[in-house]
Amino acid sequence: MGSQAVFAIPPSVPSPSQAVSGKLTGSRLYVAFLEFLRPWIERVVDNPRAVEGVAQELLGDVRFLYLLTLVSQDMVLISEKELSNAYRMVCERFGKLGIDVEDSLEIMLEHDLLKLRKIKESFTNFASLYIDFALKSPEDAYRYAIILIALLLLLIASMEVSSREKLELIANTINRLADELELYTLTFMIMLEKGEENKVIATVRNLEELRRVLGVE
Amino acid sequence: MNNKFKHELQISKRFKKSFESLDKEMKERTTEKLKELLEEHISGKPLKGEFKGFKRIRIGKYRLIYSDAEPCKIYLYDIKLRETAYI
Repeated sequence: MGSQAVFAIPPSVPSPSQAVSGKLTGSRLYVAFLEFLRPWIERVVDNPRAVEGVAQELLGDVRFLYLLTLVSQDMVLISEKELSNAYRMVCERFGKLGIDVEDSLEIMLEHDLLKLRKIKESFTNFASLYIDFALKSPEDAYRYAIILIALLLLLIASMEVSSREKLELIANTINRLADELELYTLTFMIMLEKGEENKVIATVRNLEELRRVLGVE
Repeated sequence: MNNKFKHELQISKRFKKSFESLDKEMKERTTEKLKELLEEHISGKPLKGEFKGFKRIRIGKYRLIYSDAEPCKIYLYDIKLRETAYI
């Protein structure tokens, strides 16, 4: 179980926006990364709903994991502005066809910014957080890795297709997976928030008491 | 007494602080959502890992985080604004 959990530790998976931003830079690293991903992205373009299966296959590919270690190192070099711009671009792409993915993209951006800030603040604390999570909840950690890879593939795929029908299918899958990603982001936030503020300061048993305690007229 | 809840509602310091920072409309929306939660008309989605006992309910761009892991008790953990805003 131990080695399986360590294998599933998510930091090696880049944030979805990082891959989009990398694609825009056209650096050698991302050209190689995206070139490697091409056959998988084509499968996602063909059938966006099958993306989780594709992500699962990728996680079992040693060549992919090797590339991930290189891409992960680039995470600390990326700026918040670049992440944000990558999402804005994707959002506009969907928006032009009247497809709404803004909520989901905001959820992804929130996740990516939290991760980026924690890495830059203290890599030791960031690593501890993810290792704790993976060791205590290996199945959830593995699912988290699948979700990140799936979203990464979907964002890249969205830049490769032009038909509205395809983009709509991609958007629906993004929306479903982003909803789940938010549950992970909130979990990580809470893991970082242990302390005094969690204490119960009032107990109420009816609406009047609730309104009084919260100061709602 | 007609409004007595089925559950005891425990309010954390964090929740109260976050609630106080909301504007009037959001305070009302949150109070309404709490009422629906206590009347068992809605339920949130569980978080992950060790925090599976915590649940999320969306209220616009805010997320109400609570736990109903203990019988007859609901612990209000926080109400968090999505830290989104494009930079």
